[in-house]
Amino acid sequence: MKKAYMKPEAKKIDFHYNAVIAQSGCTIESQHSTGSVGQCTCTIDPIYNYKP
Amino acid sequence: MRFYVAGIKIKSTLPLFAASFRSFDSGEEADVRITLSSASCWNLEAEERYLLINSAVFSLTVSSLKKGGWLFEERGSSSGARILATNDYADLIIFEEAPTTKASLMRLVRLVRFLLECRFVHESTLSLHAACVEQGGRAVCFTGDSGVGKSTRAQAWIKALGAEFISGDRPAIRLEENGCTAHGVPWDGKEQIFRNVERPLHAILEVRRAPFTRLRRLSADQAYRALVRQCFIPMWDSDTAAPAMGNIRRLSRAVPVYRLFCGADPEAALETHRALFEHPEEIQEELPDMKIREGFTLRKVADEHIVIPTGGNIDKFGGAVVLSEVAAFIFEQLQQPVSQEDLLALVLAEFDVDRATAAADLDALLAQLRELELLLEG
Repeated sequence: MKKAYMKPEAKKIDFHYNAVIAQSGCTIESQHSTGSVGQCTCTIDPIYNYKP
Repeated sequence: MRFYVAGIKIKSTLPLFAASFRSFDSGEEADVRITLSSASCWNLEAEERYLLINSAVFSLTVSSLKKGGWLFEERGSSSGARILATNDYADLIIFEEAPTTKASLMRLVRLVRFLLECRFVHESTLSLHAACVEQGGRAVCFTGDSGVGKSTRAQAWIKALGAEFISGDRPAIRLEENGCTAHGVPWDGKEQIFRNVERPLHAILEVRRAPFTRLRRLSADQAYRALVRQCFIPMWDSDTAAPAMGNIRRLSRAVPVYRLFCGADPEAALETHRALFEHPEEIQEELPDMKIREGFTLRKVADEHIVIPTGGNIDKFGGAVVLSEVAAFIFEQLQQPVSQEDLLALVLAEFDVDRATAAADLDALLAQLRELELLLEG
């Protein structure tokens, strides 16, 4: 059975916490989401390009 | 002991490889192209050292030596192997006690294989990452990235057509005056599927998964780019890497290379075989390719599909790209070179949408990716 179709779109965003999570492989999203980035265990600087 | 592999005579003073090399025995003394011997270890002064493989199980390094030649060192968890090679890889000297376990023998065979493939470059022979079958006295290779389904497509030919394996993972392809020949080699992949046979190479198929069957002939440039991804190239050694790439260029011109979208069902095997062997003139040429530039990776984060730049692209790109579900599917297809026509066929097979809508939306998405400079074309 085929999947439901929706228009394909690409939208550029600035680096923010989601991007930092994806880049580092970190899954501790809640720590970023709440802004307590200093507790994150990401391998890259958690405040790199951080734009709250 | 002497072996005859891919038309190349190998002489070994070591009683190695007895099981896998047995069917490649050759009694003739003449025209030995590679010799394998052993020696006691001595100090070798290295100039430069390159790490080739560093996996959880073993590491492989190569060092260029001050007095010429190369030293290859493999390190496993409990032991290792070292082989000295001359610059042209014609003489290989193993610094190793006789392997005492099956694991250490396998490690040594793997290292020797690596060096024999280096020598093959200078013998107009390539090692192609492919499953290779024989059908009607001619060879067909299924190549592509790991996990794409090369072996299952080859198995479909065996079941549907009575084809036979020549090599499960790594045939040697020898460039001849008039075309090319495919050969089984005794150091095939982990499943050790090989036969000591030589057959004229009829075609190379670059496999892509799809729920439909579509065969397109690649241009010489498209074929070259596809084969470079799948052929062994010793990049640490420019004197061997250059002829290796020259061999790939020759192969891409000497043998038809096709892109094959298909499933692993017998019908797909029959349809592909019919087109290749009965009506090759009816196979259309592939349209120009496009693909996503290197240095961007797609991640799924909390139900969002996000394209993240990596390495040097992080600063240059200065952001990330959020994709919708269908756009993420298209992005994944664009990880390998693909034509717009093939992309549209893949979208139509995956999603419930009419052709006109899908074609217009694909045009718009590709324009967006172009604007973001994510797309390589041509």
